[in-house]
Amino acid sequence: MDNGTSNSASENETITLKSCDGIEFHIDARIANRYTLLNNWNGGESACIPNVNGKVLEKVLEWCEHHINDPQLNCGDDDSRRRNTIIEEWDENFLSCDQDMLFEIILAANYLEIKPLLDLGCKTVANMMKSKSPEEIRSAFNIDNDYTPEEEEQFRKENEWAEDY
Amino acid sequence: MISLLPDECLLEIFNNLYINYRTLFSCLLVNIRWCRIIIPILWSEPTKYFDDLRLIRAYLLALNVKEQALLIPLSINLPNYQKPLFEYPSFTTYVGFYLVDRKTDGVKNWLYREGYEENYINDDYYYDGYNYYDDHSYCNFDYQEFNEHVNTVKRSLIVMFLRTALAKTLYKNTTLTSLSIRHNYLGSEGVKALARALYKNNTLKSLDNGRNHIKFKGVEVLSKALCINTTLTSLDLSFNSLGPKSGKTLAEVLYKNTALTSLSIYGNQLGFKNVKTLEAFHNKITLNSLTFDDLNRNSINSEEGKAIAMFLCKHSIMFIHGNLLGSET
Repeated sequence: MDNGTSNSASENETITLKSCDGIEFHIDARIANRYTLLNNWNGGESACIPNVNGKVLEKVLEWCEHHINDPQLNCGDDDSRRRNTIIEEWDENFLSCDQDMLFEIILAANYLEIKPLLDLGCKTVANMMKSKSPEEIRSAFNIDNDYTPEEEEQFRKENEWAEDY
Repeated sequence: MISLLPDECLLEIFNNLYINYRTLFSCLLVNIRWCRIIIPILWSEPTKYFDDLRLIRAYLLALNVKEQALLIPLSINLPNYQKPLFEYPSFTTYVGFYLVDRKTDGVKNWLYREGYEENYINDDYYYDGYNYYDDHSYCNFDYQEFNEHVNTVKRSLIVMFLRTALAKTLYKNTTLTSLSIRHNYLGSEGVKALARALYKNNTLKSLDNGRNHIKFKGVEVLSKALCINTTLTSLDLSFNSLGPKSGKTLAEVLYKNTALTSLSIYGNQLGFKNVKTLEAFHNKITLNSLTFDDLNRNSINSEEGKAIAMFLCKHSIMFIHGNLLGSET
């Protein structure tokens, strides 16, 4: 499956990406073509990625390289709901990093519009929440409870039908 | 830190938990920001749990004064808990009120608990683990009176769903698209609410209004709205005691309406008087959706039968059992 743009770069062509902290990466130009990764890429030999640091960009590019031959997903019929939460083994290992890195990857994937990586990251986080109590989720992700006890109680009552399913 | 993620990413995360109600419930209690994002997801399709009286109770709390007034004649007491923090029904995209079995009907469960064990329930707001499903003792209650109550409550809820479906919601894809209210004896108030909604609503795509006893009067009211509505694509009017006049009215609707692709008119004694009426149905609606099943049980006599038989030959379809055709046909 082609999206029409992926053929414009040949296999050996490389471009240089520069992270926000000045680290350079030489990547297969097909990656840059495949994702809208480089909106401001003018076709030259190098480009800057503001907002993403070298450590995160390295991970993101590692993922892109591994998946370079994946079929392109049709963005048109993206049904973000009802999707399954099954993750391939390689991806699972890839994302079994520390939490901060995981969220950095999600942020970068969102920023760089790498939809499959974004989905993957979000799936991973969703799986971390499954079958946990609110308190367990708060401590797992280090979140403060900003409800007043009364508010929390009312939300619990109004939504309690969902608790059993 | 997860709090650094923008709302759009959190929404992506929670969408993965779309059918995992229990986890969504936990997540919404985590903090206020998460709650705001999750409520529209959680409430978009909770109606497969319409058997749960706690869900019904939450919906009943959202009735406005007018909708509450529908319950006054039967002196049904509404829960008088605090006003809900969200207008939950406005997030609902699918309403399926077709449950008729006592054991799986939340409205019946709610009424049963409210009406017959009122003191008990006031003391105990929480679900108490009581097994309604295996308790058939309430089958002994006056069936007719009980059902009248049930239908009245459902009617007011349906009117409410239609109202909130019209209200603008913040999130896209969270307005009512499918309404299944089969078997509810809608009554004129309900039909009027439906028509009102169809006039203004541009989200509803599918409406199952079968077995609602709406009769010709109901069709008259609905047809005006249907001439204008441009979003409803699927409509089920089967078993509504429509009668012959309705056939003509519906045919007129089909000449004007451009959106409908599927219409079920099964079991309505429409008695197609002439092929022209029938052709209105055929021309406007793709053949596979208006199955000629729909002609079945529509009181076609031999005179009409002949005309229709010719029509059917023309379109090479034969499927008209259950009609008083007479031998000549």
